[in-house]
Amino acid sequence: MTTSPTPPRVFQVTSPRGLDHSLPPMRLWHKSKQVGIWDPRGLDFGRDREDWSSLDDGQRDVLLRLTSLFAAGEESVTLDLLPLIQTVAAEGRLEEEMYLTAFLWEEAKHVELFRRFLDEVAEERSDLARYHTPSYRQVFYDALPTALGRLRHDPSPVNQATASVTYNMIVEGVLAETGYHGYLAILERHGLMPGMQQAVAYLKADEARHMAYGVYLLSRLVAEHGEPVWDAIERRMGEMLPLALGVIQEIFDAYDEMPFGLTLDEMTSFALTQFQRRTRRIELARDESLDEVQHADLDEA
Amino acid sequence: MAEIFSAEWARQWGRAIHHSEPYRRAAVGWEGSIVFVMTADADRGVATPRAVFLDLHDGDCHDGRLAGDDEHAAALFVLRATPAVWRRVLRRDMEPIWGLMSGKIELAKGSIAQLVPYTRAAKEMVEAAAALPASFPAGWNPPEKP
Repeated sequence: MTTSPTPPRVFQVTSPRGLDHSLPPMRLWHKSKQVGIWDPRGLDFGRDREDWSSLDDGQRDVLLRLTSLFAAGEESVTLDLLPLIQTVAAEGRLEEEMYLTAFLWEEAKHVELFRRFLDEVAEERSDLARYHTPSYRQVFYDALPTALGRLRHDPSPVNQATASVTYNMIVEGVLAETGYHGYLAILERHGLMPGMQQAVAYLKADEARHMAYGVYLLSRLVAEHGEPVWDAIERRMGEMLPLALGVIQEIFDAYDEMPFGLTLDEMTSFALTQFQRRTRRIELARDESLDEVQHADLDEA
Repeated sequence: MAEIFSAEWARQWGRAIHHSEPYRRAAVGWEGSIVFVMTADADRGVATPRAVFLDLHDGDCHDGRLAGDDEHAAALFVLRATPAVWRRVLRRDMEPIWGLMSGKIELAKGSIAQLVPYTRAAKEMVEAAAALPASFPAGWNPPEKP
């Protein structure tokens, strides 16, 4: 039996190719280094503790509910990202892997932030999985780890697109971003918890870069592999959107009257606007070359 | 076989929803009639827009008919899309919620928030239409995927 020889290793960084700083992932990498440096332990939660103690039971419950969804969600995206990093590394996409290291580091900081909030502000030690509703469990306990885990065995372009739709477009784009928008709106309108307001502003900026990477990844896959990837994107959106909207609906179902006056209309209108802009950008790639995708403007709105 | 977005097709759709047990279960509490608009596309045999009205109440459909000004005014929701998009939806090649969220199906009247609790009902409503034997406008055999 003969085996094909392993090709000699070539290091990109010492080759004439070097690093392509114009690629969207490299632009995001540089931004992460410049504006993504913040320390969850550096936030001042002194006023937040006072504000928390002044809330009524309903207000505390909804903030605790949202925090538990965010915290487990951030843990999930931290745990589940590695197969995608391994996939881009195996494909020799050094610039993308470099950005994804920052991406993963930022997700880990988000986990730390929410646990610190629970420990030091809410002083909560009970099992918050009681807030994980049926749709939430389908997304975070099953669909997300399954879609990313599949890349370990079959990192085909279609599977990469399915994983990215689940991770970037649904979990980050519809759920996390919309959730943080609503959470920050509550805190700002009621002048509550300035430490957490600052934290969520950081989170939103981090997540905007993550979303920009997801839009780039999906656009690249569409430009490189065409309609089979686009079909997979549409199919996965159709599967995941009802679950994502279900997560949002189940938050509101838990209250006869939503504390803080937060409305489903406000949440879904924001989600729809963001979602439509990003999906249109990805769809443009159906008629674009890889070079055009790699030199498009970043969408971090 | 009725042509899509015709008076007979609208009537059949309304009856199909009326008899749909999955829709009845999913749409409990739903109040709000809907107009579905198929925009004009001369290349696909649709010279002028066509609109269908579904009179929906709490898990039932009382009537399906062509929509005029009165129906547009009465409807809580107006959903508008091109013939090519409706064809994909009716062939189960596009999930209605994806069509709506991506903007391929425009929510011309109403709020997405009001639809969110009834995404399952919307799917069953479209399924009732997809199951109907129906024809498409003459001469239309498009290879495209919008």
